[in-house]
Amino acid sequence: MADPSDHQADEEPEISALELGSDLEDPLDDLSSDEPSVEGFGDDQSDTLTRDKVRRAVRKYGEDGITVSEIMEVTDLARNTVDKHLTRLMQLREVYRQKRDKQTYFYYPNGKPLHSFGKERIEDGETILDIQLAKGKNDEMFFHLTEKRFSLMEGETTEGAVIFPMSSLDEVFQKLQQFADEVDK
Amino acid sequence: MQEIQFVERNSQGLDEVRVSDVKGIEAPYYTPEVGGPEALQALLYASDALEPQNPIMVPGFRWQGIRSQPKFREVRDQIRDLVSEHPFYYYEPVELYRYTRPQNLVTYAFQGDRGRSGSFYDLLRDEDYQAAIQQLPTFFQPFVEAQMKALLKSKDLKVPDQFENQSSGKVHEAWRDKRADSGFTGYFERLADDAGNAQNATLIPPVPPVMKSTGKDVISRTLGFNSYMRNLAASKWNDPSSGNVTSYLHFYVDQGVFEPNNNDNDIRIKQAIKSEIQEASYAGVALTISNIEKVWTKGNERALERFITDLTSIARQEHLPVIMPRSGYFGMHLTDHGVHSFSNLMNGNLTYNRRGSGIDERAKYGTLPIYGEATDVNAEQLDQVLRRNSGQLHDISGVPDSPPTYNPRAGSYNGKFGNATEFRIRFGKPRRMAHIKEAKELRDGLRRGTAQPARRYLERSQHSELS
Repeated sequence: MADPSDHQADEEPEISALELGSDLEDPLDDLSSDEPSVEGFGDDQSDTLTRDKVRRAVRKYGEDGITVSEIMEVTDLARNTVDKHLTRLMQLREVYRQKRDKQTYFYYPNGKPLHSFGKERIEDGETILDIQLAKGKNDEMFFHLTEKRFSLMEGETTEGAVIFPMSSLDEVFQKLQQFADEVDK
Repeated sequence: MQEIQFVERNSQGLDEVRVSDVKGIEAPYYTPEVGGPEALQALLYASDALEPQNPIMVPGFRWQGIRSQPKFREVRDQIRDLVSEHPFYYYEPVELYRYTRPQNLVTYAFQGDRGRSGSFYDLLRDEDYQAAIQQLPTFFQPFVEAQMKALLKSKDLKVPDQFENQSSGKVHEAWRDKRADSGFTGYFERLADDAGNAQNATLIPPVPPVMKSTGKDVISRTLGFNSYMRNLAASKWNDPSSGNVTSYLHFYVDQGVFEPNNNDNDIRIKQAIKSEIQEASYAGVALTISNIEKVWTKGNERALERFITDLTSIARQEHLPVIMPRSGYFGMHLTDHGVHSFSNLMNGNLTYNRRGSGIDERAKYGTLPIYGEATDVNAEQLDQVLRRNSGQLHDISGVPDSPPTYNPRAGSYNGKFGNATEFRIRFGKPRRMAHIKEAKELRDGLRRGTAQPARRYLERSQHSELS
């Protein structure tokens, strides 16, 4: 039987720019007031915002794993929407999943990007590699490598990603070097 | 509130601006604005004149359509370098949602796709107006509808009774239409998606004009649009697979707001900006002033300067830069009052020109700025300048000093300067980079401790209002 909550997000409340901005009272009414800013609005049809909701839910509540149903509960999104975005987030290695019992998958964050370190970039012909640091469970640091391609039409689009812990950098480098040495021979 | 400082003062006393994830851009700086394919050709031709990391402004919704035109395939790597070496401002030409420029708006709404525009105009010829309107993305529909009479007339089509009484000057009222007030999300999403596929981009959302007579609902709506765009940018920023995307808080202010009887809308705007940037994370403030030259012709420049001084002070407290798109030399003047960047279209205009009217031979060559004079000259005036200076203009690194061809003895403009398109792409528009040199000199002045270097530069110029 279909879960009725599956359709919950399909009937989106309509957004209005006026309503979004109306939380701010007329500034002249009280020049000293610290009115709350325009924050948060209902679900909308934005893929970008919806994926970010799922991402944030996993990052915030997924340290010990979070199920699809729990994500649905905290995001108020339908199952198929959550599934779609989780699949993409797994492809991009932002999220991984483990089966804890016979039927239930639990989702975990791979790490939150650390913008303060910026991004490093390697460009080789058509291939672009973006390297970013991410902080994961127990403050463990990761390298998040994103492979991109450039086209005039689409700009830089992401093809896939790899994540590995900073602690294994020497080993990763050593193995890659071994491969390279073997090819040279 | 701001987690990242987007402006920092360096040891030489200059402000360094961070645009998206590109740090250390010394201010004041000039931002060239690409209005269409020809401007991109000109910018690529003059790309050596750009400073490292110099921001570039593009019309966000059309940018994909511009850069992917067939003629750019052979310079694909140059465009790739441009995109990866410079941060991009995604700026929407707000005048299209305020003034009567129906053909420009239709082109923009269809992202320059001639096939889709053609289908739209076919439906108008068939007098199926409703079907034509529905071809447009939702957000654009009320704005095109509001100028249907002008559109039909510009295409020499019959104007039916339903549009006969349509008056010009009401385009901005379409912001209240539900299709704009609610239908903007798909438009903004598209902008954010394309910005996310650039390495470093900053979104500047389109907003309705705040005029001296408008009520606070316009300010509320402005905040609503900005807030939504900020959330999209934050989502992209949070996404490791996306490029670095930030957003600016944008206000589009009519020059009348700086008149004495302005219903205190200037105070409302400042207070709204202050509250919003204290509460929410933006990467800067963008201020577009329509008909900015009228501030000077009406004698309201002191009010504007006070406004800018207050605004830049408010933004500085939150470590945010203030930029003025579409401001030209007026924006340059206001850098003395704390503005970090000024810009204009590469043809020198502060708005898109209304299409559909004839153009004379001289106008085909456009205008270009003369360094030191802070004024634009047309082809006739350029001829005089070149005659006085042995056929050359001031040296500006990375752009030619003289036109591709120049024959002072020829009687026609074509005879003097050759093909007009070639002239604009290889000379007229590249010479816009004179503003980069001017901005650099303002920074040099600040380093030397010169007070108000822009005023000192402009007062020695030939500028009609600022000299």
